Amino acid sequence: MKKKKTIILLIFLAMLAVLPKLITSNYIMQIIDLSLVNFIVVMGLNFVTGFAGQISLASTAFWGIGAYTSAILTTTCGFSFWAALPVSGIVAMLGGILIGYPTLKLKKFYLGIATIGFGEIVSLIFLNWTTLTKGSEGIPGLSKPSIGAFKFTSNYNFYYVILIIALILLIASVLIKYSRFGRTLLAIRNDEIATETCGINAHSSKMIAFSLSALYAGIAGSLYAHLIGFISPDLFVFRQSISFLCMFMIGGSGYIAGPAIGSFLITLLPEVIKFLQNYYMAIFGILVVILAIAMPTGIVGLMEKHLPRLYRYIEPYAEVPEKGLERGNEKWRGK
Amino acid sequence: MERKVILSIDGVTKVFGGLTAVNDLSLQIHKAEIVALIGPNGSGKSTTLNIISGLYSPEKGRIVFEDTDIQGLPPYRIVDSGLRRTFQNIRLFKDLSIIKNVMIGAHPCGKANVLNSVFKTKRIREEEEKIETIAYDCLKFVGLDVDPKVKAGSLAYGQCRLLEIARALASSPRLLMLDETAAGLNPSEKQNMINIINRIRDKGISILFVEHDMSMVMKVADRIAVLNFGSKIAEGTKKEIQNDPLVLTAYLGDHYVKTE
Amino acid sequence: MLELIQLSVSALSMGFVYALTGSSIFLIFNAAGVINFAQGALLMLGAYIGTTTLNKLGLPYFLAILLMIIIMVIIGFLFQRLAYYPLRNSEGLMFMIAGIGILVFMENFVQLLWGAAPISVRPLLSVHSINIGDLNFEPQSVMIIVITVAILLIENFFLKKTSIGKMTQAVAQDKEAASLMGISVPVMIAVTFINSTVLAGIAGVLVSPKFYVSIGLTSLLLKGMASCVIGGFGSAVGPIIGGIIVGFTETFGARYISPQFRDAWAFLLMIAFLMIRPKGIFKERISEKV
Repeated sequence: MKKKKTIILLIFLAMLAVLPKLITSNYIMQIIDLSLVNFIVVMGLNFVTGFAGQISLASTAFWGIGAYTSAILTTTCGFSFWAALPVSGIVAMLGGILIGYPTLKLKKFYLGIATIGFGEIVSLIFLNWTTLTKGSEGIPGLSKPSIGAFKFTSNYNFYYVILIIALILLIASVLIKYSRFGRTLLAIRNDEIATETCGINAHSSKMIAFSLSALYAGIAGSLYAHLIGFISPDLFVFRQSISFLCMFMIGGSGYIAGPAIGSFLITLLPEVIKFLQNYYMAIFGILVVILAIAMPTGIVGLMEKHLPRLYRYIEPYAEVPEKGLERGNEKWRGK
Repeated sequence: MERKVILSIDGVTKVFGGLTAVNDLSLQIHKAEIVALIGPNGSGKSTTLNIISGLYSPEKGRIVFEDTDIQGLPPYRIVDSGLRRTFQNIRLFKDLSIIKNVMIGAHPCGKANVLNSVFKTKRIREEEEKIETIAYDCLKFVGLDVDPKVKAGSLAYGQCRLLEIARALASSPRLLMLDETAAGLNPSEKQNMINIINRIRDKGISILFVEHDMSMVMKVADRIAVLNFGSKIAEGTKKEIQNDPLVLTAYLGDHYVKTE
Repeated sequence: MLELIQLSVSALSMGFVYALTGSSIFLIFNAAGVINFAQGALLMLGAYIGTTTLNKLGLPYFLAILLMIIIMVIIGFLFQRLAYYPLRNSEGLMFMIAGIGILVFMENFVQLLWGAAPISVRPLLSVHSINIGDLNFEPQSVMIIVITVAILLIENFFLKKTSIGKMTQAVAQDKEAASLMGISVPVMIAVTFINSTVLAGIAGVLVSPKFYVSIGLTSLLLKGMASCVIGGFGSAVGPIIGGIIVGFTETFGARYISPQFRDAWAFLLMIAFLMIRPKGIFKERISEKV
């Protein structure tokens, strides 16, 4: 089983590596790049809302903070992209610590409201602090990075930059989920009080999860800014949080495979239903409602329930009981 | 034989709105002792457990566990001191597997933080294995004979009770508080619970348990404390409590008490 | 001095609208223990329906309002049945997410049905401004104050003096006890939702002449929530006081400090409260049972 999984994984990685060669349209390539950027944001959201069960609508704000930080550092402060990227992530993360600390002490919905409010404030700052952000004009001319002599000029080769960063962050999130810390988040989602009586400081765990979501979103913001080359305040508005939420929900909250499925589906969806252009947000909205009521575990959740064998291939370290409620496995017997 | 006092509750009072739920309560628990806390509904038993475990903060009084003041501390700090509890209405991590539930109970046995999740050293890997081993041992101790990967939400009621105890034992506490752990169990399950409680005490762990089933209390408790309307009205051995008129009045009403 | 009074009236009127919004959120939180993010959608819907009944149908003012209320009652019932009922036992997370989804859907949906152009309700009074001495007041501001106070008084009467109202309060305080007393908990929760929806609709209609019905209503929802946070969930008076505080902070902040950050004041205030006094001015007195 394990060998089979490794081979499939390698094949998949190989396919990812040659993907740009197969895409002929520059536009589609950009969409794929955008999906990867969204993928990073949704992975971040998975820490705080998926693992820890705390509703956060601040992803757009942190994404925007990352984007603007990177844009400002590279245009006015002469940073290189490679330096701006981690700094953007860290600045966003600091924002997360700042807003998370007071609000995570309270009941869940306070975080929801506070994150919406935070998003509004950040949005207004982008629009009105014109000396820093150039206001509604936006910041143009963001260049793609280079390594030595080689410059990543196109959507095709910048793809590799985004892909590698996304994969690193993906591996990190798998490692975190299946670690002592990851367990505490999952426990908090199930029952915070019981978690506290197991010796866990729920507040600090939630803070870390929230900060991680900010970090990921900030990094994604920087990547976005340099992918598109131009940012403006009207990108970082509340409705963007709904897109992220939609991606998160449809993939499956709390699963490793969820964000990938969700982000690709929802980023590509508008392209497929282009004729329904005006109705995008309505569709996303109603999709979120239907998912929340009828399919809260998302696509991967459905797989876990109905297609467990496929689920085991997609979800790393998936725990599927072998024999149900009868006597356990060898490990149990051996101990 | 002078046994060491491990938990000392001194003059603890808790008020909710206008209601005094616990009134000037004092109680001591010794090492490897089983103490039962009984009383009619609403007498403040669960509230007392909640205060000791840090979920409520008392208005007055002192709680000392093994020479450390614990009143007013947040729950996770009290656990660090060696005090664990189960819940009356079962609080398991339903979406997680049984083994993970117990591994979370073993959280204080490790030190790995979020950075350790990503940058794993040999020490951290060993720690994880240790935690898993502890978890398996605890499941074995309570006799929960189920595939450890099954989700806790699928367990039967009696199994849930066992899992809660396994989780609480995982951090090797010195005092275990059980909140109506036999509620809803059938007679053979209750007997099993009695055996488990005795085995826990044999390991040197003290137990403070809240219980309604008098026969169970009589079979297991070394000492019994009786609460009524938040105050302790009696304390002593089984014999002493059985014949205490105050206790009888509390449970059965005034007309029961014989007048000489 | 003159300006101060005029500004205060303006602040008070906005404050009352927030108070009304906040009260509708408070009702559901009290009764069902969840925060209804879709409240904004209901506001919006109420406002648009109100504008239709008032503007398009040519009915006399009060009949139009009555019709709107009836429609809102039906919507409130449907919303409770379809969105709250299936989720009532699960973690509040999903209900909140569903609420957000409804909010966004509604933003677009109303645009589809009524067009993207902002529309405005025909005002009750056709005077241009109300003059008392040297003071000029916008008739809408005055009307908002008057109507909101009237509604809050009616609400208060309903909740405290009618038996249905008292039953909803009983359910809000302790579902189990209420059901043991023979009160039908689901029915009372439905009533609360309907109550909340009607309040939201009225708030939406009231604010529409001032702000033109458009996406700004999401912002209104958030300020309603801010009012609840600031005022606290401990008393029905909480969201009202909170709303007034938000109204004043916003109006005076915009006038004397920074007009562009007008919307931000409510949130800054809310976040400040979350840091310093999270339970708000009127704290919840009953702690959560463990």
